[in-house]
Amino acid sequence: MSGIFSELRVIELSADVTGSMAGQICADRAAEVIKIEPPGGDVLRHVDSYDSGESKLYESLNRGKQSVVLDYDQSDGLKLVKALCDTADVVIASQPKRPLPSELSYETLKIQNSKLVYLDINAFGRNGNWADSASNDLVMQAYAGNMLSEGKTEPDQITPRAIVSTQMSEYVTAFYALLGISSALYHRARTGVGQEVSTSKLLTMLSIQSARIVTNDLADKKVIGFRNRLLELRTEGASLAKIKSERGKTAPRVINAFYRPYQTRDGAVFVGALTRNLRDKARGALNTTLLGRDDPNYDTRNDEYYDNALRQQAEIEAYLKEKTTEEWIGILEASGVPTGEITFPEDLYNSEQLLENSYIAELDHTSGRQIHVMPHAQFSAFPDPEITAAPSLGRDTTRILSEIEND
Amino acid sequence: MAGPLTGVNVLEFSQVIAAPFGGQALADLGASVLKVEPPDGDSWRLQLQFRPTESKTFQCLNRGKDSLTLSLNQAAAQKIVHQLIPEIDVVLINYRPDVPEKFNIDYQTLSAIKQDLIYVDLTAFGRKGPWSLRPGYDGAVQAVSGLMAAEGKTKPGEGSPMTISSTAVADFCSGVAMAEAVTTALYHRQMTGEGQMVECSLLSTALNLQLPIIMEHQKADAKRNATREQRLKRSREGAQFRELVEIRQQASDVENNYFYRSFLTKDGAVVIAADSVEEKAAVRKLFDLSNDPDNQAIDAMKAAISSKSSDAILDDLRQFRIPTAPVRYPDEMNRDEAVLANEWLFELEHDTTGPQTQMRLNLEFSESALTEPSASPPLGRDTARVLKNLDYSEEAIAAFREAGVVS
Repeated sequence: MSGIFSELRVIELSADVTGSMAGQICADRAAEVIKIEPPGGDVLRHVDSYDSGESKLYESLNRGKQSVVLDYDQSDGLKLVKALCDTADVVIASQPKRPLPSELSYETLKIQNSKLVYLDINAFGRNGNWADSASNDLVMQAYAGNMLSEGKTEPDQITPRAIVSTQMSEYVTAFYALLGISSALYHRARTGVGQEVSTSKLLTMLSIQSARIVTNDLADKKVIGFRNRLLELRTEGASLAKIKSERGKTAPRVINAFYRPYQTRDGAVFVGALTRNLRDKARGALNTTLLGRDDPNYDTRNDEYYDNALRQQAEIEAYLKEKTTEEWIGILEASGVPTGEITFPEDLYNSEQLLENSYIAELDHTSGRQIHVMPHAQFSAFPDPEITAAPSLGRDTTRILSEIEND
Repeated sequence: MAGPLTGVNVLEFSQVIAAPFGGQALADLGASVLKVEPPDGDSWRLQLQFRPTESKTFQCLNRGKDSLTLSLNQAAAQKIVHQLIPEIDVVLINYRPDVPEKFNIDYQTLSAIKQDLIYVDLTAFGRKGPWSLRPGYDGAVQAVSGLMAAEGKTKPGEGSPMTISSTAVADFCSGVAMAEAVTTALYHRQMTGEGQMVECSLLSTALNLQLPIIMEHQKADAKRNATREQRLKRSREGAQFRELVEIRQQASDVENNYFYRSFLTKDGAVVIAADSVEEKAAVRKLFDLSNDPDNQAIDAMKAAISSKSSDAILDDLRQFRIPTAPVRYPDEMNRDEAVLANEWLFELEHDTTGPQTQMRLNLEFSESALTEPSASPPLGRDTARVLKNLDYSEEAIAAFREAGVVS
């Protein structure tokens, strides 16, 4: 096997998407990744399983790994896991429901293995009252503000609904995990010293919306009242219905006609005019004089102004319905406006764009043929990475354990 | 202790969110990052600017960098880039695939000047395929990658799809992915002496946020394919987007159950996020529910929760280690106890706009320190210094300004 991590042994102690994804990225780069699974198998094997202990979720996140079943709640199992970690270059620890035993902490492992890079993936950071709380993606998107900010609700218009397109806290943290691992490996290659790196799912969720959280007196002048009022309402113990109603009254009314999806005659198309220059082009393509934010007299607090802008936007909506998605993409592309068809993820498996860029590929698994999403980064030093499917439970236990017993 | 990337020099050609966010992570890790901007600045400086060429979102994506203005369509500007390259380890670039060659800053040209250069290229849709030359932003990538349709937000009344608005997830995640590609390539260079080109794209990242959803699986997909067929049939019959989303959502039972969703409380809302057999049993016990509760029982549970404060409910749930959290707005997170306990926000002073808070990089190292970053640079702050270091005289620099090579 060849790849950037081909000399590395990774021991993965994970029970979540983040740790599995981090391990998979290492395996895709040809590291030997040994996933330690409890006797019943990794929890991901039991999410919507199609066969006992086999699931799509697991198979999409555990390519190219070795599966070793060991129970570290038993002292014999714990000893063997520890022995494996003593041979590792990298340990990935990600246990969102309960802490690992202290024998598997960095503090203990570094005594035998000073070159070890130990990645700690946690939820709420290492400090504070929430540090040891059980967590998952729903918890993170609620706690960090992403869910309310997204604004989806139940039919009552108040009860918040979850973000469902992706488990952002899990996946984005996996990329931070790799940034940590490879930075520490680079440091080790330069100095010979290993170390512990930690990353937090909560900080991921805050980082991807940081401009809404950090403060800046000059920039915040228009929103400071809004922010302070929320704190007052919280202190009063106001209900969410009351908070939403008050925020609704004071929230700025926005006209955003040039960076949004529209329905067409046979589907939906995205109009992506994010900058002023692009909005000028989009006005031509959409046959509108609506200025929106480019209007020097932009004033959505004025009812007449706002209603007029809404009417112009409704005209654009009607105009878009006159032609097909394909026709609109042609028109917008010719005008230089960013665009694309709104597509369901299940319809992408035969996309020419994805196939030509090698973003998806077929793999053979014991259950049959699978189409997988390929790694996010393509390295010219290894143009054809060898990517293999996920292991069955415990496939590699005997072989890997006989190796350490023979040492 | 210094950052793991101390001594690494990065030249960043970037705008908007993705590559700036990636470059900022590298600066936090100790790299020296020089950002090249057009003479009138990265267009993101103008997005809701509160001072000329200064916006809050720009300042959250470009801290710790230096700023050099260059008009890259001029030969003199291209020569300046070529003169800088011998001291550069890493080039970060996010232009359309045809642009770098036009500016003579493509990988072939630059790696001929410095053989072991690491060149990380981020495009919107990949360098190949029918969409490769389309301009693209986060929204367009959400549209074509499946994220937007899977999120399933629809505009009240009119019914068109809506953009995921809580965060530009493809952009932010691509920034982390790009930074991760850099540190992995640095590790490879340290081990082998080789530089290389790494290709990333917003589209590839967006696909990697949806691994199990895009995956095609012979044995597991029967139910999903039936839903897909029904949706495609209704689409051909002219159904509106909202109906297509509903067909898809009805098939996922995750959204409407009682142990993985949000609930209104007396003073806000909480999520209950039980995802294991044990946690679900604990929820049923806590709220006196049978194994298969009817709507009346679930309504009683909702009523019980809405009569209590969020804190009281959280205490009950956390006692049984059921994953749970309050539902928050982002603009109250600067006072959150986990944020404060982990010291994730810090203060700094911007050269021209004064004090602000910023959020730390989502990594903590035991043997390396993160750099204490400076604020984002005013436009072109470092132009004169960089040119002087290349031995250009005051007169030559003035002539460059006159000719619009720099600003």
